[in-house]
Amino acid sequence: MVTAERTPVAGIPLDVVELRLKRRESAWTQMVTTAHAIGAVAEPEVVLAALAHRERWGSTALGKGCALAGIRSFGVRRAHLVLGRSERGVDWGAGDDGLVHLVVLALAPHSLADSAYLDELARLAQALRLQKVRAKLADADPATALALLEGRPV
Amino acid sequence: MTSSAAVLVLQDLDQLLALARDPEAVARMKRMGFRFDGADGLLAERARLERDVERRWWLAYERSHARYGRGLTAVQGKVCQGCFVTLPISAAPPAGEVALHQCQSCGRLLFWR
Repeated sequence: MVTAERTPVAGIPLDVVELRLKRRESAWTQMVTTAHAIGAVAEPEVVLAALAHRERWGSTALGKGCALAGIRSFGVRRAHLVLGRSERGVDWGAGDDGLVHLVVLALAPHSLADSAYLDELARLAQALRLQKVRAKLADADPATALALLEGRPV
Repeated sequence: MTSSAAVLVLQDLDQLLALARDPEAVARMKRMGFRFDGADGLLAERARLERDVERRWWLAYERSHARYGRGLTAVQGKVCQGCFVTLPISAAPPAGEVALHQCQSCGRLLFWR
């Protein structure tokens, strides 16, 4: 069963998911399933393939226990964020800095321009670099999590 | 994976490859904290995808990619988003289904949802 909450605030919607399993691929599946359930993802298998390819290019782990998996895909219907949290950590693959406890899945439609896509990733990466943001994200509600990721005061 | 899903994956992969080949984009992503292993793995994935895509769609995709720099184009509201010609209703997939189609005006490979 998927644990998800919708945020009521405007902008790119965000869901929060408590990750149950320890494998990276299981975390992707749980998060993509959540986005599919609310209609942001049209083709889950296409999105999962895009995530695997992104990871093949280079790890999406940013260190300090967090990862930012951003993709643009034909399988995405509309932009959406999913914040995955795992208390015991997700094994993000060899070469990463240990386990990942916070995962931001940034889904964008294929038509998003490179510059806009990179701007969005930069904004999220900047937020995740801050220790106080990571600490608050660990138990934030969806609206607060979105504000934190957007760099707004909470 | 169906042939049409494999074409979507192929288009996503080519978009990622284009990003991987853009030194400015890679430099920017490195500043964000990402590390990269090079694009060789993505090229291997692309070669593997050729087996999953029906031959006629593979050829149509490659033709579109060579000519327009993009292998797959979306259809929105019966309009080809490449040349903006309205497509015949007879070419539309049944409701709730997806289909690959070739634009009779510009020849682009289209994804019609």
